[in-house]
This record gives sequence, C-alpha cells and structure tokens, in this order.
Amino acid sequence: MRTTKLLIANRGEIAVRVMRACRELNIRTVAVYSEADAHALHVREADEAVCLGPPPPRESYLRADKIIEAARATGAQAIHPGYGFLAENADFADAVRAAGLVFVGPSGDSIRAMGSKTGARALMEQAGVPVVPGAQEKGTKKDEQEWMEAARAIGYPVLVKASGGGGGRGMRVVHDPAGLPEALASARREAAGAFGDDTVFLEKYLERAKHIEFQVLGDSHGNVVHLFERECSIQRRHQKLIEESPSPLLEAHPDLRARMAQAAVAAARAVNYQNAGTVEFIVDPESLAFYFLEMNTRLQVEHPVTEAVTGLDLVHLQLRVAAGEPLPFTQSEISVRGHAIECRIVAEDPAQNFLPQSGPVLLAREPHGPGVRVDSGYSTGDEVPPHYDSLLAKVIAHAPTRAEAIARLDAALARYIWLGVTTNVEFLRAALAHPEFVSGSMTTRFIEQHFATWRPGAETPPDLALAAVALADFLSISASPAWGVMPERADAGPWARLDGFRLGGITESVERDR
Amino acid sequence: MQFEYQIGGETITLRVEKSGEGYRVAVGDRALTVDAVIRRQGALTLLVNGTPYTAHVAADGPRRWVALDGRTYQLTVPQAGTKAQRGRGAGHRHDSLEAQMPGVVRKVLVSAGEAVERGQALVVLEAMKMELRVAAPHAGVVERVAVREGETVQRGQLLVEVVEG
Repeated sequence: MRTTKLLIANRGEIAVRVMRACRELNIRTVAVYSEADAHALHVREADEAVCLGPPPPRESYLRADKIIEAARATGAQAIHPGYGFLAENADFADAVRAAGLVFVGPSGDSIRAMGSKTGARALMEQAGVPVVPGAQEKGTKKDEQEWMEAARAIGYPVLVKASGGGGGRGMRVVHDPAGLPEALASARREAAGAFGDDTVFLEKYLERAKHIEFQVLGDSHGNVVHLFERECSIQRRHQKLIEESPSPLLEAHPDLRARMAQAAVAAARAVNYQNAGTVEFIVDPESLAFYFLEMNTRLQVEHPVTEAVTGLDLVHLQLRVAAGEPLPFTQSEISVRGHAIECRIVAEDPAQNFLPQSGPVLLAREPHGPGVRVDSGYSTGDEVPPHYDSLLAKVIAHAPTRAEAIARLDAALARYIWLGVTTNVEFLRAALAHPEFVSGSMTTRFIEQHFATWRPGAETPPDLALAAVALADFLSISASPAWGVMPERADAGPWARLDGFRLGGITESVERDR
Repeated sequence: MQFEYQIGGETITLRVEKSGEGYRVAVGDRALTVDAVIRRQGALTLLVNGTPYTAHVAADGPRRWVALDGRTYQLTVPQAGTKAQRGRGAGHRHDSLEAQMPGVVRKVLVSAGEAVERGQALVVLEAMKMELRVAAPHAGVVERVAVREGETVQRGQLLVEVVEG
C-alpha cells in the first residue's frame, strides 16, 4: 500500500529533512511536538501537527503510545522515527507494526539483535566480522578481580562501555589497573540511570584509530548493498563533529575499502537487515586492521555526505523499502563522485568548555551556493529549548576534490550567521584548517590532542564591528522623530530582535542618511 | 552620542556623531568615518572609503551580537545596579551558585547548614546528555539550597548559596 501520509516521530533538523523528502514524493506530513516546540520549525513545515505533552522527552517524544495514537487520529499510514528518541527502540518498531502501521526502519528483531552490544559482538564473530578484543559478562556479573584479570589479558588501555549505551554515554577510557574499579562503578551508575541496564563490557582501546563507517541498505527481497563509507574521526567526547566521504585512508587503500564493505554487508545480512543502517568500524591506520564497533539501525545524522557523493536520496529509499519495493539498483550501479564533508553546528560555547546553550535565535542566515547544503532545525525567531540535543544544523559541502570541499565548507561556515545563541562555528573552522585534518591523517584523538586548550580568537572585536553596534544603537534611538516612520516600527531600528513588530513585518528599507 | 559596551571584562566607549552625509564614529581615541549606512533587517552595511562592509546585528535586552567577516562577537550594555549586588555578606565571602546551563537537577548532595570543603560537589545538573557538577568555590556553610532533585532550571537560576565560615 502506498503511503500518502507520514508521521515523523522526531523534531529539529531531521524532522524537517524527512518532510522535505515527503513533499517531493507528494506525501502529506504529520509533525509531533512537545509543549516546548509548539512554534518550532518542524511544526511549521508539517501539513498537520499533534502535541504529545510537556517538554521532557519521557513525557513527549518518547511516548510511543501517544505517537501511535497521533498516527491513528490523523490517518497517517507510516511512522518515520528519525534518529535518537525512539529510533532504535525495538518495542516501538514492533508496536507501530502491531498497530497496522508501516515503520520506516528495520524489524524489531534486527534492532534488538544490534541493540545489545554484547549480543551484537557475538553475532558478528559468528558472521566472520572482526571485533575488537574484549571481555563481557555472560549471565552472572563479574567481580572486580575477574574484571582486573580480563583487562590484563586484553592489555591496557581499555574502554569500559555500557552494553545498552550509545553516543558516548557510559563510556570510560582506563589507562592502568588503578583506574579500573572507579571506571566500572561510574559506567554502571551512568548506564543504570540512562538505559535502566547496568551491564558493562571491556574493549581494547586503540590509541590511534580512525572511525570509518559504511552506509548499508537492505530491502525485503533479500538484497543488501553498501553505499560506501563515511569517515567520522573528528569527535569530541565520542560525539561526531565533522564527517566526510570518501575516507582519505580508504582512498589510499582501495583493497581495505573492499574488505570493510564486504564485512559491512555481512553484518547487515547477519541480522536480516531491511532499510537504511550504518555499520561502524574503528581502523588502525598503521596496521590497517579494522574492527566492528556497532551497527546503528536507523538513518544517521551524517547521511547527507553519502547522499552528496552517491547522488541518492536515503529518505526516498527508506520509504520505498518500507513500502515493500525492491532496491532500484544493484551494487555495481552505485558509485561515488567527488568529495563531501559535513560539519555539525551545535549550540555549545567552546569558550565555556562546550556548555550547552539555549535561548532565542535572534538571527539565522544560511549560506547558499553551488555544492552547499544546509539542513537546519531552526530559523530566525525560533527558541532553542534546553531539553533536547544541542544540534542546530548541518552544513554539507560537495566538490570535485577533498581540498575544494574543505575550502567550500569553510567559506560556507564563514557566511553562516547565528546571532542570539552561541555556536561552535569558529571551532569547526579552526578544526577544518588544522594541518592534520587537511592532510587527512586525523584520528579520533584529534580534538583531544590539538584542541584541548583551544579558545576562540581575540575577544576585542575590530573597530568596524564595534562601529556597527554603536550605529545600530544610534539609529534605533534617533529613528522615530527624524524619519517620520510609525513610532512602533521605529522601535526596532536596524536590530534583529524578537519583538512582535519585526515579526509583524517591517518593510525592509534602504536608508542613505543625510 | 556616547555608547558603552562590555566584552570579556573590558568596557569599550564609542561616540557616534552625524558628519555630513554619514557618520563619525570614535572608538576610544581612534576615529572612523562612515560615509553611509545601508540598512536591512538584522544587517548594516557601512561604506568606509568607498568599501562596503556588512555586519549582522542583533539585540536582546542589554545583549548585543555582531557578526563581521566570519566572526561573531557578543557584547553587553552595562546595566545600572549590577555592581551593587557584589559585596553582599559583609566581610564573609558569600557566593550564590547559579546554573550555568539550563537543565535538570540530577542530584542535590548537600542541605542547608551543612559545612562544605572547597571543591566539594553540591549539585549535579544534567542537560543535553552532559553532566555538570556544581562545586563549592571555597570552604564554608551552605546557607540555602534553592532547588530540588528532578527540578528543571533555567540558566542563571540560583542553585545553592554558600557563606564562608
């Protein structure tokens, strides 16, 4: 059955991006939102919108029952989960299907199989996919002595990870035996709080590693293909910040790319994977050994770089596969053209140890141009609420070569105006300009090694910037009597600000004062 | 007309005067002649010696934002009365610890009347997947705990008051 109306169980840029695909496919869209998002961009972009409840995710975007009810009430036949929230919740996927709706994603069983990191490790070993040397709890909990022995056998440094974790939560690097007990205890605590499961496991920690992942796509007719790789080595506290395709390392080692792609497809087949997913690996750039990290059973934040280089629309493909259609191409028909890099713009203040920021977006002005794509969840006048992820927008640059893509992305970032909420744009530009990034040899320790003490540049603005501020204040104050405009309009002056007058639409004017 | 802005603990004074067709802007003892200003909502283009420079500007109460040439700066218009709030607690150091980011109070680790060491964690905040421990800036006694576990707090909201002693 063809979907004519889709509910998007998410917010921010990913909800807006899915709606964009729906418009192209002539599918009507239903937004869901929390009370904090009543005026949000994803609500305004939808054909219909349903309020789920109060701002905390547990009372809104995680309310599976209310989301399914909203789909029923609006007549949506399908639900797209986006990423985060309920996207990798197997019970939600099952409940959506049990309600007679289409879930735009893999089966609950596939999500479940990959959702347990320890279970996934065992499955991958069976499928012949290399996994990082590690130790896990089977059935009974290990005591401290057993963990100490396991860590010694693996060799320090080791990584303590939460079995049900993700996005860096519950993850600890331990460099020597003395630090292990505390790391185990705190990882358990955080895991219990965040995921309701305090199972942890140990993995060997590679000091110098690249994060390289493969986009895979499976249909309900037994076809599984890969859409090549993305390198996401630029991470801060295990959160990706810059992603690209192709990987500079794999450009130099096409044989390694072929082996990793084969392993990614084998991983997807091992869980009978249908729809879009990502198989993540870490790669030792010296030995070229690669290890399975995890599979993300959903669309990823960084999917646009794959779309740029392959020319495919992953959301379109997700919807086709969910409707039971076969993939419209075979592996040999997929190729990569040029180079694409994505930067994540987050509402965090690099000068204050990346503290999350919230507040009003007084002015957002997106860059445009050939090969530049912006996926944003906010526009001028929106409020960044404190309850959710700090991701504001993504900028993706596509160009014939990597060097040109870096230059194009930097120029786009320089023209991306965000006033009212502090962002990491300047930090991203500094990272893009760093010789190690430019050379392509960066590892996951890039930020820790080169940007641990980074601070934004000189605090004192140039005279021209100061003059602009003073002139704007001057014009605001002196506006009304001299220029004979309506007083309430004159109030706003040249500032971008969130008062009703400006939103009510002052006509833009050119003033050459005399 | 004179304007004052604060940035990074520094106060900058500017003077703006109309000058012929344009403006004369003095920044400290430096002067800038702006031949004309082209206004768009949220953007000002200054013509200086025939060269156009476009800055994006926004205001939110006393806060001023300006983006120029790929960089963004935040300034504050000094408010009367902010200085008077310091020096409260006559003789003893008195600190009001505020939330540096909006979020949820995960844990309250102390109660009123409790003696605390310098650096001791008082409150654990969580926002956007991050945990932030709010620690005592000096040894002293907790005068007041203004939040409860599970409470949502805004940036700048009072969490705990600690008096030196």
